[in-house]
Amino acid sequence: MFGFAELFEMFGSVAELAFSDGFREHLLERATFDKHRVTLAEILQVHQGKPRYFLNEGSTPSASSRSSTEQGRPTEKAQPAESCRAPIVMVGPMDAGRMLTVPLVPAGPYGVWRPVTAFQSNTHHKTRYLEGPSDE
Amino acid sequence: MNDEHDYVLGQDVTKAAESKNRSGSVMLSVRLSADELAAIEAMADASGKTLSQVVREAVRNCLQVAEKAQPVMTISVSGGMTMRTGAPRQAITVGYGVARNPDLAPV
Repeated sequence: MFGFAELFEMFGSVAELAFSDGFREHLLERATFDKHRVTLAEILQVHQGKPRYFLNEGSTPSASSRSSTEQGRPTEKAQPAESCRAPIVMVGPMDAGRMLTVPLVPAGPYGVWRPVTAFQSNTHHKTRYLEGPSDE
Repeated sequence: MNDEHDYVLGQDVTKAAESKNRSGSVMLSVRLSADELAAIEAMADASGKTLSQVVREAVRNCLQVAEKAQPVMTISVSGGMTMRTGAPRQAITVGYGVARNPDLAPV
């Protein structure tokens, strides 16, 4: 496991996003209601607006299992494959004010990152976004 | 699906992750047949454009054609309700009850 400095040195910062038909189908499938549906254009709005980026603490198996154990919940629930892969998470507002959380993985070309899913930010994600920059 | 709970936000890495060169474009993966790819490549070679430029122009042309093809239909119903859809330059107006009520002239 390497640090985030090496991560961005290797793959570049998030200059551009990459989408595919498969990802769009994933968004359509995961939207229980139309109003929950996230569009590709909305994800681009977040990227072009004022996003914040966070390391995904759920990205390592040890972090996921520790989290479940600490809360006393059974650990049989399988982690989605994408949560085990996405090293960073983009959080930010869309034009309409709704906030999105978008986990990202490197797409291959330098500076290009691929969303693995996208959903309306929960309270934890909104709070972290609104906290503002940390003292890195 | 509640996979939002599986993403726990750790260290804020915005300074490192944020690019100063955000282009505003996206990379879209599409599947093409061999014939379609050959046609695009030939067009790019002939015009001295990149594959992306050829595809973007094709998309723009396709969108323009689709917009022009959409007719406008305006329906005025006695009682004051007016509905309109489509592009104005393709207007086809259907007035209902207009002859009896001059206030409901077609828009």
